[in-house]
Amino acid sequence: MILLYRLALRVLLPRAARAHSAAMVDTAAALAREARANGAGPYVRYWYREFHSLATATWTEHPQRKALPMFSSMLQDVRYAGRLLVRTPGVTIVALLTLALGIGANTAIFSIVDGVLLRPLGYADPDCLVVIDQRDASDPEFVSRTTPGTFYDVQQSTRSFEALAAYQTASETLTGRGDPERIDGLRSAGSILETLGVRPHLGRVPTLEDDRIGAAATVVISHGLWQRLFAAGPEALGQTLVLDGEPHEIIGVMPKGFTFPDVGPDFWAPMQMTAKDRASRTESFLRIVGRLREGVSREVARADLESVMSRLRTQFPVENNNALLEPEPLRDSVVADVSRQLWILMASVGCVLLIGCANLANLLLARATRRRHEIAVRQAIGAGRLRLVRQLLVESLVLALIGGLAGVLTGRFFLDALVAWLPAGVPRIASASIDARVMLFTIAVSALTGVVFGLTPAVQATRDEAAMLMRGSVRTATSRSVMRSALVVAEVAIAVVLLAGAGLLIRSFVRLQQVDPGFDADHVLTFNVRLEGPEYAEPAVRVRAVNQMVERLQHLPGVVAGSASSYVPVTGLGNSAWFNIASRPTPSGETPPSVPYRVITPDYFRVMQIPLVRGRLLTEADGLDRTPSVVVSESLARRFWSSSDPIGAEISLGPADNRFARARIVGIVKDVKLGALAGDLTQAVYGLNSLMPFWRGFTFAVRTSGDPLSVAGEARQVVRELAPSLAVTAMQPMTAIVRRSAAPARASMLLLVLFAAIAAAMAAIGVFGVMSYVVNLRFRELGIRLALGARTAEVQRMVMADGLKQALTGVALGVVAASWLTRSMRTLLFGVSPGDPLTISLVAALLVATAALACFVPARRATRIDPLSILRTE
Amino acid sequence: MDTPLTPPVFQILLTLVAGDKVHGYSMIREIAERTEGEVQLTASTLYAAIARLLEARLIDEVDAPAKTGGAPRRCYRITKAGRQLAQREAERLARTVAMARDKRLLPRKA
Repeated sequence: MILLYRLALRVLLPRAARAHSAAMVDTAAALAREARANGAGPYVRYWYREFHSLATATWTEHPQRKALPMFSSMLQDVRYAGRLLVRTPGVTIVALLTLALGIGANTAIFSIVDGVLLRPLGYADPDCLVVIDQRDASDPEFVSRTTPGTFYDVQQSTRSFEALAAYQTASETLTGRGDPERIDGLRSAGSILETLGVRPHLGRVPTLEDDRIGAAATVVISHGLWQRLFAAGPEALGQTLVLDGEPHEIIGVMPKGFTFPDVGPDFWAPMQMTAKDRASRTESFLRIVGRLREGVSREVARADLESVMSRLRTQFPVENNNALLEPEPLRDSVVADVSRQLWILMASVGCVLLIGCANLANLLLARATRRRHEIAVRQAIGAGRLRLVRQLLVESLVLALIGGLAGVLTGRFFLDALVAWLPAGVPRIASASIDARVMLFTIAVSALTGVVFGLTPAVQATRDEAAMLMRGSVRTATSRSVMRSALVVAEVAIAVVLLAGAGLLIRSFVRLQQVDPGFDADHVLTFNVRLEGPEYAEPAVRVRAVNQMVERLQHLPGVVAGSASSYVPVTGLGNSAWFNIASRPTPSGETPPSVPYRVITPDYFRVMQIPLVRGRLLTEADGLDRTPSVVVSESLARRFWSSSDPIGAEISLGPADNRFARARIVGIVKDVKLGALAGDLTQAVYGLNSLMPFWRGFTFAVRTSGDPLSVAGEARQVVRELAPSLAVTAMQPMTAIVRRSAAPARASMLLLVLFAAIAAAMAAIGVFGVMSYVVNLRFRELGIRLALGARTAEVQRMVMADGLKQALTGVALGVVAASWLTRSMRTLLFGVSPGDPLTISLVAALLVATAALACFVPARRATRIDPLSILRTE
Repeated sequence: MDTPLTPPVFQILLTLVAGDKVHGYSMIREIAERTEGEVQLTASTLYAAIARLLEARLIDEVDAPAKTGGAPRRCYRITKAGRQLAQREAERLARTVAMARDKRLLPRKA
């Protein structure tokens, strides 16, 4: 309320009188607190008095008193409108419910759109910040990370940037403060926090000096972690945080609400790469963020980056063949994934409100018709048409603004529900709240709503010649029924569009559920363990530790098989490497193809139930063998050996002089969805951890005979006994991972279905209302027809045909609009094309059926007219 | 300003007559208590009146340190002209009351 008061002061008070507004707000807040302590009644009464006196004061204090008569008559209109609302409670309640729901839903979705997409990022001069991704000239959709070699070259040779930094998200084990736990954070080359231009809440942020080789390890922690570990005490600065076994000095605490790159990081630390790592041109894991120098456009920066890349392409052709560096606004990269979905939701919820408006317009039109006599009398005794239109408009505005107020309350409720319910990981969702900006939006929407649904009835109701109306009975209000039909047609058309959108999402979702992921997620428990810290520095130690843990897990009661792998399917996480076939060397100067690889233990395929197609699976012995073995997926085999047999072929991963040993393909397994369920990433090379011992982070998976979670405790105990310094994270059934992969699709589908259902229901109510009204208007005509011998079936058919004509026009328009508008949904759809004929015809049929039902009841009523009673009144 | 004063304006002047510096919220409280709830000002009426009184130089604005140590609060003090006006208004009211007594609308003073 106090926000609303502040807003009202700003709008109503002339500039000169604003000197007191701060004091007014303070005083009002104090009085409101006091009133609230006395209960809800006094609280509401207090705010009523406050706003009333503000309105009165504004009016009497207004410098241009000439506006006074207008203002006072306006107040009169408002009072009259209020009385009318009380006098027709039925109309008022229906209207307020419609508005509260419609405006509330709009408020909630807008506050999310505002928080996620529109609000500034919270970094200094965010428009100057760009993310620089590496792209492939031959496949511009393919975005990859950059190598340290490229990053340092860019840093040295470009002039467009005030600051440049590169980062990699990290998940590290925190020890020495209670149980070991994994926390998410970010490691950066260069100073990422300086580049973003954020001040810490306490202490300082790392500088370039802290990233120097040999500098003391430092870390900045999040506000949340600071509260959790140090109870927000200032003594946190200078303390030590042990991350992956390395002590780091805490030098700063970030402000509350700061987040980069997305939700949830708890620490930011320099990467401190070795000189050798800094020179690497083969390992791509950095994402570059740059701050453009003042006055430098993105085009200039792009040209600057291109000059560096063209040099690198000649200098290191194998690594940089086709590589491009593309600067993109940071904001776009933060919210790119959700922005389309949010705008579609915003448009849908706007449509729902529009349909609501159409219904209200019809309702008011009907009320205006009943008030014809009152209006005619007013006109007869000299009220100008403009004055009458204004009065009717004020009525609808008062209704809309009360609806808007109710909408703010329902909006807050919807927002809480939405935030709790949306899938985790929508970036910046925490900054969605109902504040002054959103409030302003809601008030604007309410006012607009009032005009939209009020203007037509107001203009229509005052159009008729006063004299004609005074005579008593004008029975055919043609122009008015045209208006009504137009409203119904529009409503039905909008409902068709929304239903078509929802229908397409439903079909996508169903398709997604039918996708065969290639493995069996039931009865599988997974958890992550990352082998970090001094005792796991040696690769051989890590291999032994992982194998030991798998061995112990396999012997737990209720466990059928156990394994560990670098990643599990459908998480979208994974690594790729260059793929070299010994018998077909890549010509010099060309880049070998890149394929995903997975580090596994032998029983991985048994746990995931991935069937063998040909050859054999890997065994423990393959790790000890002098000639190592790997297994490849079916699609990879098809890609490289379309006509010959891959089994027995010798391959190697990565650049020629790398740490991957050469290996022989011994088997082919079925494809598995590695990335999203909707994606087609299935090519993979599987090698044992003993072949690729450099790997540190593993997801353990065990197949159980019963409920997978029933072995969770014992599994945790195994890790605690064998490796007390390591944290177990993300313990969950594999089915949960699969479900999460479909969660975003599910969320946007459910919301759109909800909106579409409301839209369809409202459209049906609209058709019903109009047809009932039409039957009322034609009561006499229909009665006479019946009296003259028309059969009831004919009368019924006539009324039905009348209503269906409107519905069909609406459906036709809606189908055309839907096949156009659903194109914007292309990226959200899976396995179904926008404008899918089946979906759209189903939707059309559904709406026609609904409309028919809505016409049926009034049509039935028309047949029950008693002709005699009509004739008697004539 | 020799026309009768509005109740809020007269009450505000009455609050300040003792010569204290008083801020907005305390004024509203004090007036409500003194009139036993008969004159209940809102923030909007109070500051509309204050703006007019300041313009007519009947009261002054002064900053007084807040007791709790926050930012200084804006307080108000009556001017000489303000005191004279309040006095004239009180006299006018007294005359009005005397007239009512003459006509036996009110009991005569004992």
